[in-house]
Amino acid sequence: VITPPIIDCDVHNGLRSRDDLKDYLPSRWHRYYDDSAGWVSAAGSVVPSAPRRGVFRHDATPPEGGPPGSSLDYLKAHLLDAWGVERAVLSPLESIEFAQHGEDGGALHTALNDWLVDRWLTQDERLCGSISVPVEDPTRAAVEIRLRSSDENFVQVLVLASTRDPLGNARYRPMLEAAADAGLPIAIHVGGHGGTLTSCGPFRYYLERRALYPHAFQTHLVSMITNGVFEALPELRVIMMESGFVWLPSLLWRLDRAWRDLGPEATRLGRAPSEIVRRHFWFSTQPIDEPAARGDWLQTLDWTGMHDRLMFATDYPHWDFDAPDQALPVEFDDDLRKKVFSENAKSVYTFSSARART
Amino acid sequence: MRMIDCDIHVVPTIEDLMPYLEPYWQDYLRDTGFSRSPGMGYTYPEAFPMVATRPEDSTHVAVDDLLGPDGLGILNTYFGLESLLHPFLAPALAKAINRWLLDEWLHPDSQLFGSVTVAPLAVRAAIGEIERFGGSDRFVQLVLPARSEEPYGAERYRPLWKAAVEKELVVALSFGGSTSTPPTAVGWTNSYFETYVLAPQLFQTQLVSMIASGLFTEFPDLRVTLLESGWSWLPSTLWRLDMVWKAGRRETPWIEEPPSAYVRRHVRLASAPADLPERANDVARLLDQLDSSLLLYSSDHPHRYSGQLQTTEFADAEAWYRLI
Repeated sequence: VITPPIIDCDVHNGLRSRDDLKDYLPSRWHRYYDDSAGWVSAAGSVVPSAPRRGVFRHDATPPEGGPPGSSLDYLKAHLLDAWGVERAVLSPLESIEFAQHGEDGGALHTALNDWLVDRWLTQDERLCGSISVPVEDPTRAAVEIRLRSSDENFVQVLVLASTRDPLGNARYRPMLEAAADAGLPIAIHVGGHGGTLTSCGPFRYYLERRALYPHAFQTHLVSMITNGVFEALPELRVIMMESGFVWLPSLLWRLDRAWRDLGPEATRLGRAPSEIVRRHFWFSTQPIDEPAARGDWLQTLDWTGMHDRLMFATDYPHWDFDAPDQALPVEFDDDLRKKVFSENAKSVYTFSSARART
Repeated sequence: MRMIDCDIHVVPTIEDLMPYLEPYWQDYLRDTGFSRSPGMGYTYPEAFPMVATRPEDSTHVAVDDLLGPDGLGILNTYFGLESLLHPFLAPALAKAINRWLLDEWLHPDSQLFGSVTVAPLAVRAAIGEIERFGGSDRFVQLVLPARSEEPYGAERYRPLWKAAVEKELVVALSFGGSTSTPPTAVGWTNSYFETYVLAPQLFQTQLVSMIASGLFTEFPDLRVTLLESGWSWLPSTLWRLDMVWKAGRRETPWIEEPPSAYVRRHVRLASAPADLPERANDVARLLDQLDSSLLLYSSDHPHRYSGQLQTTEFADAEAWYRLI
């Protein structure tokens, strides 16, 4: 299978050592940063989050040492050069260990974004980045987004999916508004700080956690639509990252049926919810779903009508990396492959100098 | 094959239950002006005709109309007892509901079969109800609300599953429920619409928990019916679940087969409501993906939905519920 030029919209780089952030963190926060090492902000309990020894591909460990994803040179060689990646959107996940409120949360996220620009985004023209924000302090998150909005190295705002509340809640509105104003999509990605994680309390096994990841995304989608986010912010675009995709048709059918059966007054929506999804949402591919029979993937995509909204991602350097030459279903033809590998990403991201300033 | 409607809602009024309650509870309910559990209001708000579940619809005439002369029906008396935290009130109501159901609806020559209602938080009392009524050939299933504070694979529910299996009851998970934990994976919703649309999460969470915890390995005779689940989410959920199991099965070696194999053997889904594509050939394709032999026919009386499934081949409910 020949692969066209690739835009990889989900790549995870990270700090080589925790101390590296201090180069970008005002000195008055250093003591705090040291003392907060190892603090787990996720409420409730968690399970070990990988099949074997950590979330990484073992062969992604840089030869010079440090965790996978921490070496610019090795990421270039092992991912960008190896697969002919034209653009990679970097989403460091350090924010999982950061405070999500207050001045401390703000300072940490600002430092992470400065580090990302200085050590990565300005070092290779193929790299672009995600703005990390303290999600549970949406006013502060909005400040960070506005601060970065003129920096064309950033192409999206990263929101980790396990928030305290569904994103349609009014308190998140300033953050969403800032993203819409900046012309930046919100990328909702697996991970986060909330403690619920299932609709029936805590899970026990990694199997459950991984099987049920789509629930957080479904909840945000339904919450944002129902609570009028897209009526208030008609320009807002949302990317579901690592969300899975094949669950979407049945959710669209259910959304529309409930909207008809409960009556528009139940939702205050003047148009079918599926229309709003088709207009405002994009999805990444990894981990690519594996339907039971050949043809089911394309059928699923046909049911959504969102052939222009599916974007390729590898999730490098995580263990469940999707290789570009193997990940897409065999039934995807060349035209669809081209869309998924690069064209669809170009429709939601504004790369380099072309981005409009507001 | 005769028509068997596997999900007919009947609910008693509090007055209906009075003769089946101890004097203490009669006084308690009158003193507190209790009329409806919070779980009923949360799950089936009366303002929405789609899901309203009122005693007025629980008439013998209405139910006879559903069944015709030859049909059989399985009654679901979901009453929202999971939302009553009083440790003795909820079990007292469960017992009264089961006694009322047996007296009012389950005569030996009736076309109807019953579900045992329990207060799921009071596991010991729930087992008492299963032992009290589960032996009767008029009771063929145990109903639990789909929503719970801990997923049903959790250790504390094991004795409940054991009791149900020993009495050869199907265990049905019924749409909705009200608990002190949020109804979604990321917190509380702001409206009924959101809660309703996201309810398949509840069923999926429970299925995954049951499989992950080895419930079907431990109880090879266990049968589970999902009521009002919407069901069109099942094929894609199983695709993902099989994939996740394949990649990570070292963690759960007691899951010996792909999760979808357990579902096909141990789980059936009631047909109403169905969340479907508009065109008939798309519905046919979806039924192929699902394997329509997993669907049991249900009217879900008195709930009313648009765009529902027309005729299809349904699973043999007589065999599933061992009605013969």
